[in-house]
Amino acid sequence: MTAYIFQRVLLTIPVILLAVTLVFLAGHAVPDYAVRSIAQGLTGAENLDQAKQQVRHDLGLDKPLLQQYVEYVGGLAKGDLGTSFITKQPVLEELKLRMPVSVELGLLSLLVAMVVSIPVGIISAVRQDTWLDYVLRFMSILGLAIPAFYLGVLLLIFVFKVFDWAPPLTTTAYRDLWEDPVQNLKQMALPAIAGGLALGAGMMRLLRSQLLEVLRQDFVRTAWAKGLRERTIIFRHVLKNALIPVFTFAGLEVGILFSGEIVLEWMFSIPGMGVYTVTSIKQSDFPTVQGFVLVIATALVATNLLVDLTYGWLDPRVRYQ
Amino acid sequence: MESSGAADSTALVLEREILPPRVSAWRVALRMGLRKPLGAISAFIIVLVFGAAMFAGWPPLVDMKDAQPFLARYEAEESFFIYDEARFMEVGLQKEPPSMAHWLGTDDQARDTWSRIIWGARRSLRVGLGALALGTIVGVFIAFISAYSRGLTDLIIQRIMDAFQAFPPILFLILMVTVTEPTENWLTFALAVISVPSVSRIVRSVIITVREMPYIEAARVIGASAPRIMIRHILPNVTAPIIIIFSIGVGVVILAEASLSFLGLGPPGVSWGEMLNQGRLFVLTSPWQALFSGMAITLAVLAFNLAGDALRDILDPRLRI
Repeated sequence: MTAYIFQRVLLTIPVILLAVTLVFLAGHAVPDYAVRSIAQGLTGAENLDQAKQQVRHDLGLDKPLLQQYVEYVGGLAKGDLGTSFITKQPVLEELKLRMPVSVELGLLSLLVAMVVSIPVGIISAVRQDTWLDYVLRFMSILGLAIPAFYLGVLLLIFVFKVFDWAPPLTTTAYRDLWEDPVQNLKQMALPAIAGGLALGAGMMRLLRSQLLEVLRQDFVRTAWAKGLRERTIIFRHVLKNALIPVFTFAGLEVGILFSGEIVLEWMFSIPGMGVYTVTSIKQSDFPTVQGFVLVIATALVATNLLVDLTYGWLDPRVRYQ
Repeated sequence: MESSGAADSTALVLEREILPPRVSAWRVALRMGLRKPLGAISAFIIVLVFGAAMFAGWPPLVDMKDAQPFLARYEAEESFFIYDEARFMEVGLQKEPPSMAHWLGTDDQARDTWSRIIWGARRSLRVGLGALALGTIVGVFIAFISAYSRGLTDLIIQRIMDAFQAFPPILFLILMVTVTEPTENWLTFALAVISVPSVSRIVRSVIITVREMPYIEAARVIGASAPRIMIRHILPNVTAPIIIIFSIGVGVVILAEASLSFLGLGPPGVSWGEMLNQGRLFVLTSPWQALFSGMAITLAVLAFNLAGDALRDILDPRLRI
């Protein structure tokens, strides 16, 4: 197991390195218009060119590339993601403020995905090739095909037309979960369902095929022969074995969850990291965007690593591949 | 003499009974359509999208000032007004529901939604095809280098590709649009970079299997040069996977462009994602624009994905994952 852990951790290094390098190179190419817009806000400088020089100097853009890179990586190692151009606050602090919102949406989506996909997958596999199975599989294909943000639009229109109700659609209406749970969940419900269905559709299909495979194995036949009840066989013998790959899949899909979240936050005006980043891009607030990309990339790598390790622990066969 | 006659008749028998009868291309297409109905429908939708993009402003040879756009019916930026008798003034036809004059209604700037969707097909196709064309060329090139160099170079290239693939596309796009103000070409380039790893990975695996085949060895023995072997003997084997990845990749790229435009980060011009972004602001009072632009995105993405799946089943069932 130690060798396996070591090997897995080693494999994450190129990804982290690529992320850091990409983000750094993008930062080095800080657009001229960003420098100019900051320079214009600067007072005291005699002319624009001088102000731009000043800004470049402040940002350290006039130093040699390698030195900048080393300083940047050194800063990262100390948890320094830079300072926002707009708010003049450390980027890490700004992101920390919005992180709980995004994490809440992600967890809610994951919850919806599991609540929907596990029962549906079981029904679809146990009642294979019945009309119910066909209907559920068709729904899952739809869920896979429709982009999460369009699913959000459809849900919104549906809820409004049928129940004559719409969630608050402004960032100012948003309340924290601890402050006002009802208001919070009102705004979170639709994006969580939209994101959850998109993720759940894939999980359901995988769970169904896994269940079908396990259902045909010898030990299940033995269980039937022993005269166990169907419920016991499904839940105690089959489901346990079929769920491992599904959880792996869910872990690996976290990246898709994050990408989907940016658009869902935007769609439903939820003030998480995604909306903050999109606003920052529009204001050319480069350090914030860099910080966001790095935080997400690290979170992804960490989740993937965790999934890999859990998988290796649950199913020792993968360690020797 | 007798023996050659026997050979002739054997050849005749072969042609008549063993070789399959020749069938016209139409018949093949029809049979494919019947066997793969989803693939056929997708192909039909793709043809429609191409038609929309090509004939939006048809006839192209006539001076555009006099000619009314044929398929789009109106110009993309044309606003419509109506004379209000009560107020003695012209008022804009904003957020109108679908009617005979405006098939899919109008938006908040009184522009025709149907026309804008037709014009918007150009953006999706230009970006999708452009990115995949560039991405495929670079990807195949990298695959050849990687597969042929073997050893350490191969390993390093593959690790870089893995790292790129682990990096969520939307994060990369976000970095790319922050570096400079996005134009359509810049976006196409960014999307091409995203499509390189999957192309090169699959093509490389095909090259590696083909490379060890006896006929390649035979070609090498009779003195064929390395470029000749690559182009004449290996490349034909790679075309099937390339066609498949190309089709699926176009769908992925169209969705990525739509997501980016939905966040308001895309280049200026008519885009389905941007229409959905505008439409979401008045989705409750006048859902038409959000509904139809989202539908255009979903159908186009789905069509390219399903067409890719059908092509995979027909051309190369081994690639099924």
